[in-house]
Amino acid sequence: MVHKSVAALIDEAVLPAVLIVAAKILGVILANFWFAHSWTLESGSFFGVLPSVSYFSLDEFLLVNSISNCLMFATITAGTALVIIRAHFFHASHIPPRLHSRLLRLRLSGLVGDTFKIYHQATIWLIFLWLATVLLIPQAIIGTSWPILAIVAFLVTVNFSWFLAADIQKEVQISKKTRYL
Amino acid sequence: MKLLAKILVNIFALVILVILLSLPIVFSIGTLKFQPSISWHNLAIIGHSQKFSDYLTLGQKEEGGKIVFDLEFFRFAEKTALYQGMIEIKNNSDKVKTLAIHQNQGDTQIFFEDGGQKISSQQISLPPQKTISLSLEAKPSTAKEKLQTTFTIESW
Repeated sequence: MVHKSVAALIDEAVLPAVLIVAAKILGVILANFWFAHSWTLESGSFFGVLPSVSYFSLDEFLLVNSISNCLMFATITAGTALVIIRAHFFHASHIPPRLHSRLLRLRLSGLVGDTFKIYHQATIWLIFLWLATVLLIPQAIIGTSWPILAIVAFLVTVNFSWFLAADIQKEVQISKKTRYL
Repeated sequence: MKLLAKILVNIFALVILVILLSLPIVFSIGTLKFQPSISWHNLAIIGHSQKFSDYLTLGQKEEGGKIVFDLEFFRFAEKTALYQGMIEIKNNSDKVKTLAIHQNQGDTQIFFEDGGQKISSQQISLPPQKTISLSLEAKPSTAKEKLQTTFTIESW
């Protein structure tokens, strides 16, 4: 009953969402452990249920927020990079036959993905990448995160979007060719 | 009716998708907070009992995001009391530190002992909180009376 694409998008969004939240939590824990001393854990202060970490020193807040943002963005970048690599090199529609047979020999045929799966995965990771960039830019402007992080995030996001657009263009050309054959 | 159900199910699925997509970002904004409203320059001792504070001063300052307390014994009048034992510092019933205290025979000064060294002042640091209840309790080995006091410190 649910549209096939919406169901696929929900399916593909769960793992990245969990990974991103885990990366943020890990970043906060590590940064607090090594760099911050003036923090307290306030239970039930985030949505009335979840705990939040309060800082009394602006410098420590900036450091912990930036480090955890860095780890979170690195996770999203890694996920998007993997999907783009898959789209470029292991896309079922244009994988070189020699590489495909080698993957089959190595029992790694699971790496090869069809257009539907790869593009839904890529859409989700790219949305997370843009959302994180949109989050980092205002934080850099108001001084609660490192500005360099926002600049790097913007450049990475634009580049990754372009890589994916190039792959989609390639895919459109392939489908046009196959239609006329 | 079937079409309406289909539309509703799809709207519900889209809402779930939007929640899933916004969850990490909302989490990343909400999980960390900066509380600049607490000014630790406005600390004040708003209540303490008399006994212990007859001999001990408690100063406080902010240092590296923590509240640092300076505990210092001043001249003690009773030469015969001979305080030798432990002083326990508790913050809201959590033990923060235990320090040894010592008074020489015929002397009017009480000292803290730190690795065999006699020092007249000690520092303890606590993470900042809105209210700090510091209780100090000395368990003397020779003196008859137990020393006890409580300081409540608030910031605003």
